[in-house]
Amino acid sequence: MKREILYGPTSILMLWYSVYWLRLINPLFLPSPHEVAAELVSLSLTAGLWNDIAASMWRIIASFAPACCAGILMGLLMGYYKGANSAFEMIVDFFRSLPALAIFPLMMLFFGIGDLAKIATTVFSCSLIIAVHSAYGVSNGKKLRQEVATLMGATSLERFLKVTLPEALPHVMIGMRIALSFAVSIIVVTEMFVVTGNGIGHRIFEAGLTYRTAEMYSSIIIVGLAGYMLNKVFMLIERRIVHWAGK
Amino acid sequence: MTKIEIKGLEKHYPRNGSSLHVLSGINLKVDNGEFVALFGPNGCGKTTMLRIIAGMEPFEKGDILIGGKRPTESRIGFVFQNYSDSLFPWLSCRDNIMFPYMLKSGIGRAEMAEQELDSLLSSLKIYLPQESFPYQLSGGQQQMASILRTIIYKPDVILMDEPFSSLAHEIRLFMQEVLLRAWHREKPTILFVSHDIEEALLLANRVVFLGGQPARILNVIEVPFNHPRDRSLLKSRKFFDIRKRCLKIMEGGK
Repeated sequence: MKREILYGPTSILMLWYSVYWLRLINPLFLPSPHEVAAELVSLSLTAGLWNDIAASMWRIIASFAPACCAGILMGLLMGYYKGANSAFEMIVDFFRSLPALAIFPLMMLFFGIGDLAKIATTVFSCSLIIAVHSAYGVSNGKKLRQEVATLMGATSLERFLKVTLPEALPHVMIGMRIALSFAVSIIVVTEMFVVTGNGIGHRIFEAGLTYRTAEMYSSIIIVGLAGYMLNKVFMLIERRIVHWAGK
Repeated sequence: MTKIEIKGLEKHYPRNGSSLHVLSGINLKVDNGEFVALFGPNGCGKTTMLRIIAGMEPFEKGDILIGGKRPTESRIGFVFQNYSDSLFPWLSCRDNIMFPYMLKSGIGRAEMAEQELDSLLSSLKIYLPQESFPYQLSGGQQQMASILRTIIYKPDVILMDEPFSSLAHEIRLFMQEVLLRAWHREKPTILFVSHDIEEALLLANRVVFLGGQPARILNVIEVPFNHPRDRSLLKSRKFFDIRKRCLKIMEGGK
């Protein structure tokens, strides 16, 4: 690991301490880093925090998995059939430009105030991201590779399975990675919307409302760390599966 | 026995509403097991002609037969100039070479092809890191893999489109010698496009000169050197003489 990567966190910590010591912000709104750290440790010893993390994780996975299935399927169709692409491109771009949370009230009308509305909102937004990237991967494959396979007598199904699909895979994975971080933010924010009862977003919101700021900051740090780690793990998997990407 | 027969080929490209006449009145016969070079300046229509023979490009007039069959009904081996795009980066070098046998049309022969590949590698005296992926190979190794893939496929004809033109000089010479050895061993029918007259003369039994606009066959010369050949031929007096003759043909074509 390079030493440089510690410079960023260290400077933020130093800035935070300076603001705290100079009393530039009321400590009620910005507690000291060591207070937050202590809170983080004591929180991690309670079952409540882990239950909240588990609840959020469950919602993220429950939305990410179907989003992948729907998004990849949609993307492959759009990339493969030029007609499907022209037919859906505008609609997909329209919904993609829509902030995910703008459709959350609509989803609540349909699916109630429980988890289903949160999951539906996330699936909707994430599947579009994955679809766009997958479609790009399919339609931007090298023409030459298709010709090579055709010359060797590949049927169109073989060409799709053995050339088009692996060639699109790096883009599919990029779409999935972007969608995963999207899923984390949409789930955490929708947990704040209505009385959810659990979830890390709910914890942040409640802590903020009741001025338990140390707890609020530690929960924010936990969300950040979780998102960061999910992304890193996904990148590791991605590099293993699509080892040829970018080379 | 004639392997490739081209009769009265005409090709136009649509361009800005009108049409560009690319190939005109091409007649050519290539015998079974013959190594023929198609030589001409850049952009004269050599690649177009090769793609038409491979069945990848439509044409307006004329007839093309490969062993008496249409190109789309024959087994065509094609080696492209762009080796990195013609290989599959997700497959290892060996899997790339064996790709034709991963297709349904190749079922049942894969085992034989595996043995064939091993004996080919040892008789050509070449080393390829077979478990490596294309992006881990040098340009020469990548093109070698793509040539081996074509030979292993056992096509009716092998069409090569300037396969060595983007390689460094020394690697190019090495590849030319390997190709000569492979041709000497297997005797496939090869049509090799080149814009380098030395390359055409070193490799082929016959050189077909293409030129003019629209391109037509300007001349055909027999290359009288015996096989096996290697790079020492390039320094010989008779090579020098035939090269001079070729340069005259090219000047006359302008």
